[in-house]
Amino acid sequence: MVNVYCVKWGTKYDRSFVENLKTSIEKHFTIEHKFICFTDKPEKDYDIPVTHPELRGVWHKLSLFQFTGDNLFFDLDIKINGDINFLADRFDTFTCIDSTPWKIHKLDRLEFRNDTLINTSIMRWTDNRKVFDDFLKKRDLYLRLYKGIDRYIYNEDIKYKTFQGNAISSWQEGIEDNTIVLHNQKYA
Amino acid sequence: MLDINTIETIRKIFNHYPKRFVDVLNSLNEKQQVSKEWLVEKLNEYKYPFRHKLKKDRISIMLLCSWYGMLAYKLIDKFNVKKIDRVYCIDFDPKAKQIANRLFRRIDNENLHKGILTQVNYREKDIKDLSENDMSSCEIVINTSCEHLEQQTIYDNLDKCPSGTLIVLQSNNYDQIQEHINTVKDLQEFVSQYQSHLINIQMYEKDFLDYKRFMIIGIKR
Repeated sequence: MVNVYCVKWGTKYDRSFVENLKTSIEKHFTIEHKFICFTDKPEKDYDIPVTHPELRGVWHKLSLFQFTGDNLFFDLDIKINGDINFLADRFDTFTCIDSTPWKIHKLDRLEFRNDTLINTSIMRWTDNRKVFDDFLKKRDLYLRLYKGIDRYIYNEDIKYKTFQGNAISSWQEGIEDNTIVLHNQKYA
Repeated sequence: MLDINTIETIRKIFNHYPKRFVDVLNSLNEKQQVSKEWLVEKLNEYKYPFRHKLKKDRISIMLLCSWYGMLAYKLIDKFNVKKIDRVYCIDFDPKAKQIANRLFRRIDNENLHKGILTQVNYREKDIKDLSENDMSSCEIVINTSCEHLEQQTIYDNLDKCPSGTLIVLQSNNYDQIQEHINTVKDLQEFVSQYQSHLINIQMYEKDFLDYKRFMIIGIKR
């Protein structure tokens, strides 16, 4: 059984984004799974409340690492156009997305801006509890240094792999018809 | 114009700590400077006696969550109630000491030449791990980061301070910042959090247009 998580926090995305994601997952992910929405306002039977209310926005994604098992996470603003069973081909090392294709032109600013070449719109993990525990120990420092978890993971030398193949793209590349299209920062 | 030494310090920070460059600049920005100068000004005006005020020639001051330690140098410059023996800067950031040394090395040398003997000691430590012994080594304890800390952490730390310790606390109502997990809505709320811990409380408010900063100075019961 695969746990499929999303996070709905605040008002940036309304409930329709969660419902659309759930419907897409049911259609394109045929491996046995349980859909879970981690949220500050639980309403549906698939909702569970956030566990660290002091955190904001994307940082709740990091708090999902307290959960072990075969886990997948999806941002609410992704579009799924085809079979995504490949995301569950192996659950071992923490896996996220290589964002180099749409970020390569920003490389000169990478270091002093604490920028990142990974993207966590989709994540896969089994046991990443240490990452979250370490974050909590110096939460204030990391929240000060990093705008989001992509930057935190990339700059704090956390071990990760990236999904292989060409099935994931970003709308920032001008691609809209791939198997998975991230709409990262489109609704910012 | 910026003087050549300042430019050189900025260059060194950029070269050695590029990932911290923006953070270092933030720690020295105008609002940080104004907040710290305001603190020293009001501390100088505080009239109530605190522990060892009359007994010791020189006192020690502890700065909790001290970031890169700019307040230590404001105190060395402007604090006029007592001579300062040591300022302890406590922060759990493993790079704070190295960066502070680069930032303030020249000022340390200048102070030494002027005969100012105050030592600034950086300690990499979570304030949760400070002991009663640690807290009793200082006559004044300053925490300008209450909005960054769980309330219980602040209380636990206060409980470890000896009676008579002069306490300075700052917080704000700037809840748009992701690391501000414990803001207060106004000065009254801030004061009410510490009335059972402190006596002779003096309270202050400063308007920074997009938010307000609050400060209380009092004596540990």
